[in-house]
Amino acid sequence: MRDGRRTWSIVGLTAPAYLWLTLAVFLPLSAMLYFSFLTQVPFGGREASLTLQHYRTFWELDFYPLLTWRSIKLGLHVTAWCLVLGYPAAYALARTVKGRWRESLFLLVILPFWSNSLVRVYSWTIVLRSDGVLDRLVQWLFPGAGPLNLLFSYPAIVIGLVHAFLPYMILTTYVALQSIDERLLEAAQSLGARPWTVFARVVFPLSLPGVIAGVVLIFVPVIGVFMEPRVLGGRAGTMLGTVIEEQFVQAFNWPFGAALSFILLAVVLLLLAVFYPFLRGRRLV
Amino acid sequence: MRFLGGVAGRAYLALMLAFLYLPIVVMVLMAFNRSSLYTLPIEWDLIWFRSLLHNQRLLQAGLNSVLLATATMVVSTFLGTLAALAFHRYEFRGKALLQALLLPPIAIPWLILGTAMLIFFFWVGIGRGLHAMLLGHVALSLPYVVMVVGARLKGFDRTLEEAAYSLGANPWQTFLRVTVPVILPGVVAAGLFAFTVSFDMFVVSYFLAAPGVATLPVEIYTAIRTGLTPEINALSTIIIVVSMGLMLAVARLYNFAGDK
Amino acid sequence: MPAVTLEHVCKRFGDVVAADDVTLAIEEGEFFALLGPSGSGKTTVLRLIAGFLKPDSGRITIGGQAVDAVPPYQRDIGMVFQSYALFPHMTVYGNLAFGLSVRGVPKAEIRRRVQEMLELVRLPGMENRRPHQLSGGQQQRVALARALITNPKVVLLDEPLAALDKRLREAMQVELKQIQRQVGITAIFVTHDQEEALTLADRIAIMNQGQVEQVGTPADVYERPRTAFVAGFLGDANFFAGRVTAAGGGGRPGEVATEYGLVVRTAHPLPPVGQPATLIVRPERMRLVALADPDGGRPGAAEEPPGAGQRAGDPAGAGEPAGNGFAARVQQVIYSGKTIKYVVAAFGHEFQVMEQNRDDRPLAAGDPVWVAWSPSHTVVVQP
Repeated sequence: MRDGRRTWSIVGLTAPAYLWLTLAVFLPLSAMLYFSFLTQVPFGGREASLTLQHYRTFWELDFYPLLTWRSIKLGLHVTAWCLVLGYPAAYALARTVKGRWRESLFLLVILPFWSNSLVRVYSWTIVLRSDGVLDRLVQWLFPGAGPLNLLFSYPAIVIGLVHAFLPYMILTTYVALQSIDERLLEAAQSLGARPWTVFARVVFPLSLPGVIAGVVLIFVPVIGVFMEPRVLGGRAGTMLGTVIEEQFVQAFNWPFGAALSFILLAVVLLLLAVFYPFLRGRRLV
Repeated sequence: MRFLGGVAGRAYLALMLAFLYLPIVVMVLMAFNRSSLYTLPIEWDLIWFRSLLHNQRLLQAGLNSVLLATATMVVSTFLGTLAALAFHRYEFRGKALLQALLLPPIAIPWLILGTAMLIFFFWVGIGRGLHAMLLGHVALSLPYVVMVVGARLKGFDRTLEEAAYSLGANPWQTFLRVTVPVILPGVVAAGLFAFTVSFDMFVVSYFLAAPGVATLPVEIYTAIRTGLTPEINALSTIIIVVSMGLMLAVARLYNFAGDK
Repeated sequence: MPAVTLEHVCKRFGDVVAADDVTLAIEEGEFFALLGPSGSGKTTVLRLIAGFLKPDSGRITIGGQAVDAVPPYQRDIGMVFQSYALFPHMTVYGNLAFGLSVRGVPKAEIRRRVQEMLELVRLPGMENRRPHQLSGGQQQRVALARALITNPKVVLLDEPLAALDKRLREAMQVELKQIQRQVGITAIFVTHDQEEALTLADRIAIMNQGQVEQVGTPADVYERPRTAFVAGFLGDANFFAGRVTAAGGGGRPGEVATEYGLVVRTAHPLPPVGQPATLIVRPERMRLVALADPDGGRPGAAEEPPGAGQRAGDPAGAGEPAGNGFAARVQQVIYSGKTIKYVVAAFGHEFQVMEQNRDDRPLAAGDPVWVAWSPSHTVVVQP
């Protein structure tokens, strides 16, 4: 009887949340998989049959694999910049700043990350537009220099995305760095390690889980972005994400859009599978 | 050498903060600039905030956003807290699987989830609109709620409940007078978190917006895509202030930095 | 009528038997200790009494009533947790008032009782503090006051002093005992600290691997341990194993021929002749006498001490003609202020002897000694 009550408690507590997730996440994903094999959308009395056509289209034209590679390259660029810029920031935060200052600075770093991403991307258009704030700054520093005209270019997309995702990298790396036991560093020093050796042989390896978490948290969403390339990239901003969006919003070729989404998802899952062993130690709940 | 490292570290942090805040500050300043062409020097004026007051479309979108975020907060906090309690309290078969199922909403790009919801909701007749957005927003904020409340529960000493029992409190009294008050900061933080996720959510809302029914981010996107609307600066300023204010509140309740 | 009884209570967790046929009766007003190493099942027994665990079999009564179907919150117990488990979101007042307020006691009455309890645990004026603003000792007293305020039938204490440092722990032991006497409440406390149990308890149950090895007063269990485990757990002991050669009785000591070839006499009842027997002697019951001549020159029989004049004031050796003794060599001297522990070697084994630090010139490592003790201090235990 007690076991029965226990079971009911568990079901009663978890069922609402998981039914909701099923309705809004798992069933939609299944539906999308199904749609990606349909000739056309089965709405409005139209007959749809199963086909592999959309997946074939992806491979038949060079355009789509190239596009996918473009998205992956964007992901690599953004992730690399976030790592290069973020690691020293996290290190400085975790190792050189102390006490209340650290807490406040940490908060300042992650605060923009929780403000509206669209608004932040939009704010870059003001900074990067020709004759905008950046151009004026450059001209003031180097009179005679021409306008950079960064808006609507690939670098603009990278800048906007690095700005959007940098806090992720700082956050995960900082957490890993600040959980390193100070005594380990003292132990390394007592064994004769110089500061650089301490960093390379002790600090960096121990911070690696945080770095990898950051890499995954950045790379995965970046290969699926569409809003940032559209707003900051203009015509240079065609990515897998923007093409998927077009299929749903402009071309109304949902089955093909679904197939593209699934190829994107496959890339994401592949990446997660590769990184899973590194992430496993970090319990979610 | 250590001192130099400290100075260099601080200078570098300052540089990073400048990078993170530069565009936001520029945008906020421009919201108070009379010229719509971002000309300098700034002529201080509240003209864009005033004209915002007369933009029926944006006001409606703003109302929609607040309603949606509030509903998302209430629903996902309730559902997520229940699930977190189950995970905290019971060991059962399938628990690891259920916990792993919280990952897809976080780990899968929102573009994929948004388009999938569009297909499914259209297919089964749920359609688009605020109700569809609510379905999506709750699903995407739920995992965060479970994690935040779960983290608070992890720090919750089960012997507190036993202490309450030993003092004669029945399970209901114990829950209301001991468990709830102790985990409340975590629940409130999770709720604010869910509000922020919904309030800032663009991608999913974008795909689920019905003609004439949109949220602020969707309207802002449309405005950016269609042309110059300087009220957007004013509006974005308000949104940034609200979002950051909420996150500061969360941070106060929930120690993000990890050390006390 | 006993305040709390356990009859043949069993509890297992998977393959681990945490409580194995435990039968105990705790008397009204008694300060009862459950003592054992970690994993011995003592905390399980306490939690079974509290009702946080349900026994697989057996029966538990509190105040004469079976409580098998009674949930913890209706058992009318008080409990002090190792971590204190003070409600962090309440003040000291809120913590103390909690048990009364869930029972629907009127506000004025609660106010009065809280004041009383704060006086009792010597924390008046602290009602508005939060738990984290209190020192460890103060938290401990609040936890105790909270457990006592409802006048429970029994108060259960789970390693109540383990989180305190040594000095504070000793002070709290005295205070705890005083308060328990003053209130006259039945108290059951769990500890792994044998000194604490001996100091505090009226009676002690020593547990090992889920079983109760012995129940008795501190003097009982220390002086007359029933098993080798109890003897070893309650303090240092020198063991002698062998076969009974004379059963003794009628004023004559029994004799056991040990594996060392030494015959050890005991004044306590032995198994029949020919049976195996284990004997223990506490280190402080043994006496050392310095031997002048290292290579013997000892008088004939092993049990005869060498001339008592060599060390003055040695009642154990000198006073009892039929005593125990053997020659040994000091191996190690462990000095700890008021006592000195000697590790001496004989028969290829080591023995411990504890002496008061009374001599001007203590023995040194390498000194030949005569180890002597009385048959009445030679206790027979089950192996």
